[in-house]
Amino acid sequence: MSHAVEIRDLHYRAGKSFEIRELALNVPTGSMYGFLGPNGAGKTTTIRLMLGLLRPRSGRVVVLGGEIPREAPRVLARTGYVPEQPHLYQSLTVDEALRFHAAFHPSWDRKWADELIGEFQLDRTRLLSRLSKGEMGKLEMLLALAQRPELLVLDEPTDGLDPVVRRDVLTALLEYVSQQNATVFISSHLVHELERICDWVGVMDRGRLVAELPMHSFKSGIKRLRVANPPALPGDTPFVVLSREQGAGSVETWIVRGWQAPMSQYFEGVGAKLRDVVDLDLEEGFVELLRTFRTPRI
Amino acid sequence: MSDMTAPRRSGVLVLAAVLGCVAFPPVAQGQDAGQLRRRIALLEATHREAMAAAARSESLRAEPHDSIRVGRLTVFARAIDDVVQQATAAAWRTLDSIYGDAASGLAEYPLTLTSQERINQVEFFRPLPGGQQRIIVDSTAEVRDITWQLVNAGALSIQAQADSALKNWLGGAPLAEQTGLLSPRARAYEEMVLAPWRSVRSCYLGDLTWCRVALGLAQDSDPVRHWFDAAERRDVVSDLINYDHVRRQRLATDRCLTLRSDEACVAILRSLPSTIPLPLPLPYATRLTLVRRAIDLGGRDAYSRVARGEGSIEERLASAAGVGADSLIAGWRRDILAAPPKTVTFTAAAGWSAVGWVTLLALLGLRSTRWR
Amino acid sequence: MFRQILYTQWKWSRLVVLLGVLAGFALPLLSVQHSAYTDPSNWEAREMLGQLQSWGVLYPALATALAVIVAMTAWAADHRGRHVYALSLPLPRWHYALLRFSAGAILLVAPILALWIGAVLASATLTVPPGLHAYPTALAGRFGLALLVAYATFFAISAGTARTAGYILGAVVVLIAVQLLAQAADVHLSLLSWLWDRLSIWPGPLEVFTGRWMIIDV
Repeated sequence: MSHAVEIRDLHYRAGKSFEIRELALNVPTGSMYGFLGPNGAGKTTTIRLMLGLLRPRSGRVVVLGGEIPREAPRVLARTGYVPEQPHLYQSLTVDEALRFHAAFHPSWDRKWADELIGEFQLDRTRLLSRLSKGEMGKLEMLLALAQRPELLVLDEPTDGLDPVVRRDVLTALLEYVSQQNATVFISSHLVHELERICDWVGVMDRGRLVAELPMHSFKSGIKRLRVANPPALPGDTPFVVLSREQGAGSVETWIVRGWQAPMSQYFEGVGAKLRDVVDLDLEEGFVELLRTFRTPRI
Repeated sequence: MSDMTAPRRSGVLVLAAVLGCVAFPPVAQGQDAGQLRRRIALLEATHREAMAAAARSESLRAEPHDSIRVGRLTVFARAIDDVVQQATAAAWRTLDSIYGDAASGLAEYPLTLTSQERINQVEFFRPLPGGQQRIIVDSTAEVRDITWQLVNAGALSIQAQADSALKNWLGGAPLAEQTGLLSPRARAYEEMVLAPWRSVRSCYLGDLTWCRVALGLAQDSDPVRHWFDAAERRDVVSDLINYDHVRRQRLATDRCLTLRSDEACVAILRSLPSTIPLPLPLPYATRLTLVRRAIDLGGRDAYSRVARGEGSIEERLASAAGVGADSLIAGWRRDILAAPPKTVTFTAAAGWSAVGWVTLLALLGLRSTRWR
Repeated sequence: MFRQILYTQWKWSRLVVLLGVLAGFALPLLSVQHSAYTDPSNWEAREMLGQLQSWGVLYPALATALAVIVAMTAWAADHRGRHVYALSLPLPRWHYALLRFSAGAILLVAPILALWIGAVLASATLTVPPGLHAYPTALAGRFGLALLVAYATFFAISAGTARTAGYILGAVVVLIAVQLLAQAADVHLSLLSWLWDRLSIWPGPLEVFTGRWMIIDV
């Protein structure tokens, strides 16, 4: 499997309180990679390191086959980026911003840009400083898409947008991806949003990558089990026990990862009884994953 | 009390005055006017004595305690630090190079450096012992400022020994001039270009006879007629009209300015008292440049030959320079015309230097880091 | 690419540039306004020079003010956006800085040209007394060099990080503090005047700001 983004042993430190350590991350080419994490987890910092906007202390970043930051200009020419905060020059009009951006991107698709302006209902003559948050979000997405990138890096692209605008933006994104087979790296803390569109997921917390796996594994692999007469020590389990919680009587609730149905035999082997297996949705799984990462309770 | 130092004595006297006031409170009741007057007189006398003692103590405090001698130049100062040492050495080098052997006369005229912050009225007017000259400098003055002050004072001491003809011709200006924004030759150039007189213009164009007139070298007993033509005389009168002496001669000024009577103009200008000097075609500072050229040509003893007082100023300068008068004046004129002040134009070197700085700074700007 | 950079910079600093053009054009004309010379008396020549000299300080002041503002505006929008947009553009950082620098320098050509035209007109309207000369081109040339030196200086400072600016400011503050302490302790130390001499005497960068800024001079 080739990777659009490969990060190895990345170390970055900002001040005394925040640090990214030993980060290793792989974004398969052509995938839609959801980058999850709570606020302050280091998602934006990782993205900036990925695009050469920040200098790592050590480690290696390769994007679209180019070393960052050495080959950043070549990589950025093939990468569309929507940052977390609006970053465009506020004193320009929409039209001026488009012309400015187009001048730097040789692959700029002017026709499609014009179409997107119509779809997004953006006023060409309006100053950027006068755009609403939704309009600004749409313009940022337009600029990233119309340069026909091989990789789209979207940092919380729908954060703060109303549902209608969010749908418009995501529709345009999915349409482009389906046409171009581009790789999308999308960070968000809105778990449900990523659940529907991503096929890979990476979870980050406190500057470290907690998990990185295909979405289907993530979604199906995390379960809540109700176990009667559980063993004091779980021993050698065929699944990963994320947490255990004492329930009523001798029943415990286990959160496990990597669960498959035949694994229920394990409980018979240790004298316990599996009462119930509950599917967790992505958000619940995400929350449990983070909880376990922060305070392991086994 | 005889061995008491001045500051202590003044303190005691002030204390006595204060105690006097406390011991005899100003209660007028029961006292006659005579008693009161006597007490007031007593207090006033005590106060006067206290003030005088304070002034004496301050004077003692400001008194220079140290001295330095470089060549024949002796400088007294409260403390001889590096700055004073360097300035004295530099001043002596300058004076020696200009005045040569005549600079040895400085041994009789030591200079005293006094800090501007420390001197008071009493100190300022008190004569210094042994013919010392006082130079008041700022406590933060740099070497070059003190050097110039020493050179200036030293030069005036040396030139004071010259005969009156030379002193009058130089107008009391020292030969060693401070290099300010404009060099003396550049200033002379400006005068040559800007002076409104025919004599100066003709000199500028190369007529040496007019150069002599402009420099005041010509043997003329009537500068009013020699220095200026009729129109220029009218201009001078018009320029001096605000002086009472001129204004009072209403009839003559009317005839001079309105009826254009040259005789009236001449009469007014000839009647000027010494307090209203006739404008010089070229100022004293320009004359100094001629003397400096003669000294430069003549070598170490040149100033002594100028100051010796034999013959006219022109002859003395020629003798000092060791060349003919025409040659000296022509060379001086060439010198001055070759030294115009720095105008807004810039040399190629300055232009390229600026371009170099722009390039260097731009390159620094291009190194703007992407790491923020 | 350059056209777009030039356009943005023009949009951000056009008011200042237009004011600079106006001031540059008007300055030489105003400076000679009361300097009418009438022969035969040469009295006015001296007055004229004195008057022109009093205007002289405005040329380097205008150059510095223009340079500071144009250099600052060149980076202001990027500073506001914390350079994220500029850094995400697909070109090396030095190339981007070069485009910004060149755009600012080109905008500054307008006030220089305006000053030259104003100076040429001013000297054409004036009877120059004998011995004096008009220097419209030299005046514009010196103004241009001073403007570019100041612009390059402030551009370089502005292109740096806040930390760089802090270091520069800190160095200046330390210099002044040392000078003041030395003065208070009665120690002869002339750091500032030494520094000024190094900067303002050839080949120092500020040499171009010194001298007589007069359209008419000897």
